[in-house]
Amino acid sequence: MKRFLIVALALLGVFGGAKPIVIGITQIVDHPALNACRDGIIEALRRAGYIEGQNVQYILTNAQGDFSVAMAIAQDFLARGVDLVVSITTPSSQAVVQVFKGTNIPVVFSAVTDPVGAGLTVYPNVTGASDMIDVRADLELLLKVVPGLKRLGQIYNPGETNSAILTEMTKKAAAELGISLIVVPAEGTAAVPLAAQSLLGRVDAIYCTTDNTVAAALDPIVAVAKQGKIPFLFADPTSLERGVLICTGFDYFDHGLLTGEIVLKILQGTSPKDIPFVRQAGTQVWFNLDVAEEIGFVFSAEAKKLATGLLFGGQRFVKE
Amino acid sequence: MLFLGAAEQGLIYGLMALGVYLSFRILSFPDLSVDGTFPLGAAVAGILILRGVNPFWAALAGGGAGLLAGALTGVLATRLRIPGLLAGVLTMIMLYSLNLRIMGRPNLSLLGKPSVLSGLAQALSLPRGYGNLVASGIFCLTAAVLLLLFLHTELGAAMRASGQNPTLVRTLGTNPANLQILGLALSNGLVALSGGLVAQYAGFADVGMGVGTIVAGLASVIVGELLLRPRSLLGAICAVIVGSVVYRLAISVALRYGAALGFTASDLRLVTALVVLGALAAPALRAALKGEGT
Amino acid sequence: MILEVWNVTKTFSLGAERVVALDNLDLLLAEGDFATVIGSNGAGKTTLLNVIAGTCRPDRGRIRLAGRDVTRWPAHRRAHLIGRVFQDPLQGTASHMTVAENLALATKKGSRSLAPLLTRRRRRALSEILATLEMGLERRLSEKVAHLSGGERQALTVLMAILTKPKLLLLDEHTAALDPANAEKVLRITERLVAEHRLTTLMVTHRMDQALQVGNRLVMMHKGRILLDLGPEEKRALKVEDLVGLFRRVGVCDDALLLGEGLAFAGGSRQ
Repeated sequence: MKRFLIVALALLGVFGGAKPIVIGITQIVDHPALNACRDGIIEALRRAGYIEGQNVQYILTNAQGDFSVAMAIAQDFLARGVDLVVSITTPSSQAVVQVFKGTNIPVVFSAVTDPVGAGLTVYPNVTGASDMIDVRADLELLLKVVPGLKRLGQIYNPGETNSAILTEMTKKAAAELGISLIVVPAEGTAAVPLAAQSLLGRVDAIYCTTDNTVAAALDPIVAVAKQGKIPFLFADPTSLERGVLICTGFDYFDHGLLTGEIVLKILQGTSPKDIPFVRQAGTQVWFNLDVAEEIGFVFSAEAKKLATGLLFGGQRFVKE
Repeated sequence: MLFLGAAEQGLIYGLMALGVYLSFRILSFPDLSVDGTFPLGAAVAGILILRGVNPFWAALAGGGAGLLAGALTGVLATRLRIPGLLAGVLTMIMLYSLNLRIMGRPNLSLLGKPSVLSGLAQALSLPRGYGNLVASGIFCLTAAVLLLLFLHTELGAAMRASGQNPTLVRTLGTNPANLQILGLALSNGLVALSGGLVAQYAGFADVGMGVGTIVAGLASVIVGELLLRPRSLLGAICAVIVGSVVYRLAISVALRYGAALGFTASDLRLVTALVVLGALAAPALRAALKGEGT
Repeated sequence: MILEVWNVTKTFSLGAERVVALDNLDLLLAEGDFATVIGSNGAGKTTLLNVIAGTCRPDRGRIRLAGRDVTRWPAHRRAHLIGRVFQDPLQGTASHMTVAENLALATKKGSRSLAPLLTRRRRRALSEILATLEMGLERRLSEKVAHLSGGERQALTVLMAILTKPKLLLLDEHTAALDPANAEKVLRITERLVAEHRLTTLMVTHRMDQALQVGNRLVMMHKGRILLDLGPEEKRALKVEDLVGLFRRVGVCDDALLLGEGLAFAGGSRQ
């Protein structure tokens, strides 16, 4: 019945003049990547005709890192009777699902690396997008691009759920590919410089996944990589200009667009239980030729074929 | 009821507030280790529930872990003569790594797993929607009653005296250091038990869920005191629970209506901190306004 | 011998200076003795009490209480044998707790159980004990100690100190911070309780008249040593002028002491 109402409202909404759909969006902290994700969701809906204030109304919240507030936000959404919830990051999603499980209200999660491990996938009204990156593909890329790669270093924050999962995957993939891996923990941005320093002379390349702490303290790692003339691969394509040699992955704005697609499907009538959660596809591969020149690294012609884009002379060039 | 969730949270976190009351007011010990013992309780309870342990015992085991952690802070402060604030911080830092080890990962999902709150609600055949509230209430009030009774025993009274006048306690033949260790153990036991229950309430245990516990605890204690102005122990303990509920209600109100006034949840933390600051500084401010010296 | 102090020396270093608070001091108290201790500031009186009570460790020497060597015992362990009253009325009680609770805590020394502190029977017993003070405190059992006057608090503290019939009672200028009327009252109460329970007592006082009035022995200290240790007859024969003369002879210029005044806390006494 509720689904019917949503469809009816959605249709009415698209044609204007009816009660707007209320979508609650919650995230655990205020953070550029998460904000980009949220913006992507809103943009995806806007492109489909959902204009804020007309046929859709957003309640934007963030828990400022306080898990009890994340719970309170979820309860507030329920009490307000929102039509759909978008939860960005794992803890916010867990709080929302705990409150909304057993209801008919659709929940769409975003930026959750391991939705199965987080227990989110067993509920019929819950679906979403996972931002799990293809770690193995990154390592294979490194093997192809860095000749003679034997030892790899990784810095991560063991306290970040998504990051911990990706590091486990890195360990597994490295073992399978015969690369020896040194993992250095950094429990906060202050610990990153020392962690990076400790890798000098011990590794042939550095690989970091979508770890928020690394993202916040990227410069010291870039500096160490340049100092040791070591290739550095970071799974965030927006960081290319900060001096990273190779960037893979996706822009969180695109992840938001992907999430927005799921929301649209639900608004147009598909039940969440018929939408399996999606993994972000379409990984970009960027080579930074300026940094390569700086550290004396050469991308072979073969290697260059693997890139989807190059940075040269400070400008980005995308391959057709 | 619109603010049912806030009342539920107020009661479950009320256990934590009782623990903070015990250390901060009774022992006069500002104990920062609660930021670590709260998630410790969640971690222990969480991992046990995933292993199939009855959620009630899992929560109590979480509380037991908190007892040990609190005792550690006490030992650091008394036997090793480390200043109280630092002792608490050290314990908190140690617990961060320990909690990660216990859980094996930074986040454990308990969604769909048995919870003592829903279990209790079922056993008592409570009406849907009120199950969590009553179950939380039972836990919170039981803890409050036990704490009140304890503070009226010879041991509890000695602990109360020790927090204000350790010299007196020494003159009466009891070692105030031991009382402090016991008090910190009990305090953190309550906090960790709260953590174990919150994990079941929220559906997950996360290594970061302890951040800000001491602030929330202090805010609850102080708001309660400001509202009720208790003059007896019974009044003080009631005030703590009332304060905890009011604190969570304030968050819900800010979430619901704050946007209209330009507030966000992040502003609420600032406001909370200012309330705590104001209440703590009130005696000094009052004296300054009257022109007295410090 | 209830109290034996043998060869006790204690030196404090204050920055570059070294102060000898107790200098090879010997003191013996037999059961039932009530010794008053008098001396100028810095004579070492409080240090002596601290060393006996255990809150201060001597550099050298031994302390024996009721035949046991307690030199190595921590303060809270010695407290089983000792009752102590401090000068500051705030120190002897827990002000945020009630009169009844304070007194109830003092009925027992040592380890505390989980038994309720204030049973009906205990309240009755405490009420009777308080009535003996004749200060009306038995009607104020449920009041917080913070609401009592200094004199009432100190009387309560004295009562708390003797409740368990300690082997030794230590009084550290315990009337000095009180106004004259209350000081007198508390002193009378002290004398009565000591006599009633035949307590061995060591009382430090800054007032020479008090030192002579009360007790059967007089100890005079100066610069960490005992100059005079008088027994009952000699003490009875002594007058305040004699004491003043004695002090002058050893070169004490402590006006407050010589003029027989109390210390400058809550209204000293003026002769």
